[in-house]
Amino acid sequence: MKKFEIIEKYLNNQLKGDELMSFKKSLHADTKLAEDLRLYQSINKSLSDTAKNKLYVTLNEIHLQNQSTGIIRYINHYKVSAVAAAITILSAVGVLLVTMFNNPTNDQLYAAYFQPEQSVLSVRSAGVNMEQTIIQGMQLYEMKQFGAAVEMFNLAPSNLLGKLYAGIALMEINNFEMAIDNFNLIIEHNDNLFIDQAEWYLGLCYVKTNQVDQARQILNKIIVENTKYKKESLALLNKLDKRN
Amino acid sequence: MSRKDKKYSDSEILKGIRTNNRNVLNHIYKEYYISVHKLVLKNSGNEQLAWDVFQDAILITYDKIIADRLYLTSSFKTFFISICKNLWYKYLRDQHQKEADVLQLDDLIPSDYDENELIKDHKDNILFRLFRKNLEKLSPECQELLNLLAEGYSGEEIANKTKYASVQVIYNKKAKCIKHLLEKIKSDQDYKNNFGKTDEKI
Repeated sequence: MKKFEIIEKYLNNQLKGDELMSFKKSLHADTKLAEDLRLYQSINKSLSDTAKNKLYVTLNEIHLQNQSTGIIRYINHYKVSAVAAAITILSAVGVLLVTMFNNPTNDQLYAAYFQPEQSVLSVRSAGVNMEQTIIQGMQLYEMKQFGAAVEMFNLAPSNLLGKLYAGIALMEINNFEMAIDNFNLIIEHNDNLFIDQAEWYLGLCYVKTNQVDQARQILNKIIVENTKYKKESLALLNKLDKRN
Repeated sequence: MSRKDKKYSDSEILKGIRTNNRNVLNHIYKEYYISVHKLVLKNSGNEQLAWDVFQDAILITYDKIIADRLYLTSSFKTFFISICKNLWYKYLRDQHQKEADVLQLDDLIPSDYDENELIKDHKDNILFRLFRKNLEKLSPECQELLNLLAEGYSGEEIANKTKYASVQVIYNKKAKCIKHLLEKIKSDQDYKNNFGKTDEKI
């Protein structure tokens, strides 16, 4: 009988008589066997702690899910100034242009307010892991190959960072219907840090597709929830209201 | 923290850890992981080490709750960050790095419990983490069998729901899988760092 099978039998009280005597004798003489028995018992203890195993699995699922969230936090902590400044300048130019029109169309409003997110690859911190498909999707997104980027992001259907960027890429290629689906999925998930962005881009999709009532509804929601897009939402809502 | 996140009291957090409440665990992760990550990476650590420290701190806390050995004399935040810092400090000390490297960057908060007790609890959890980590490196058959056992299925239940002919065949297969698992654990650098350099018994 093999050593570990004997250990298993010993721990299950299946060793009897001479077999048991012989094993106990070996334990005293063979320190390696004694060490293996201790380790085996330790594995058995780990295996039998079902609740702790479930805790470990939950923790690792949360870590996996939040790895992309972690990237966003790094952006917020360290890199937001440069990115935000660039976006603010671009947005200001667009908004300035649109104010030149007394009665801007939905297309003009959309063009003024839509600023795609910068790829997280250019701002991500070292050591933060991402799924390979998401990295490849981001690379395609950076190269403005939006259709291919969407296909790549879709290979990781449970990754919400991928969903967000797929949504924005879909906006870039004027597939607003699918973009809306992506953003709604993030919002309905209700337990991630991409909801603010998803709501804002969803509002813009509604403006672009002339679903003004839905746009008003989501913009009002952003204002009530006081997210980081509140200022833009107030301004856009104001323009929608003044126009009609 | 996202506006979607709920705030939890310390007692709700402890209960959440004990009952494997995903929302509470997610809350702890979002509140504290970034601090642990920063501490570890600023002190020559890496992403994996930061995650190891965080996991170990949660598992140690869980063990203390289950054993009814956790009496908070401070906030959960202070307690938890203190454990993380002490674990990381211990790691650096074991790696022969200077204590001052840590202390200069972030003052250690006195821990709520004895260092020797923490070390003992930690060793138990290193083995648990090594078991889980190396489980993923086994063959699909071994992973399936050991995961079923870890989920609380008995030998009889596993025999009924899998291809194995009898409970004895399952025990023999389990012995074979654990043999492979122990080989992988013993060759893991984390095991060597914690158990390999001394004659300390497990």
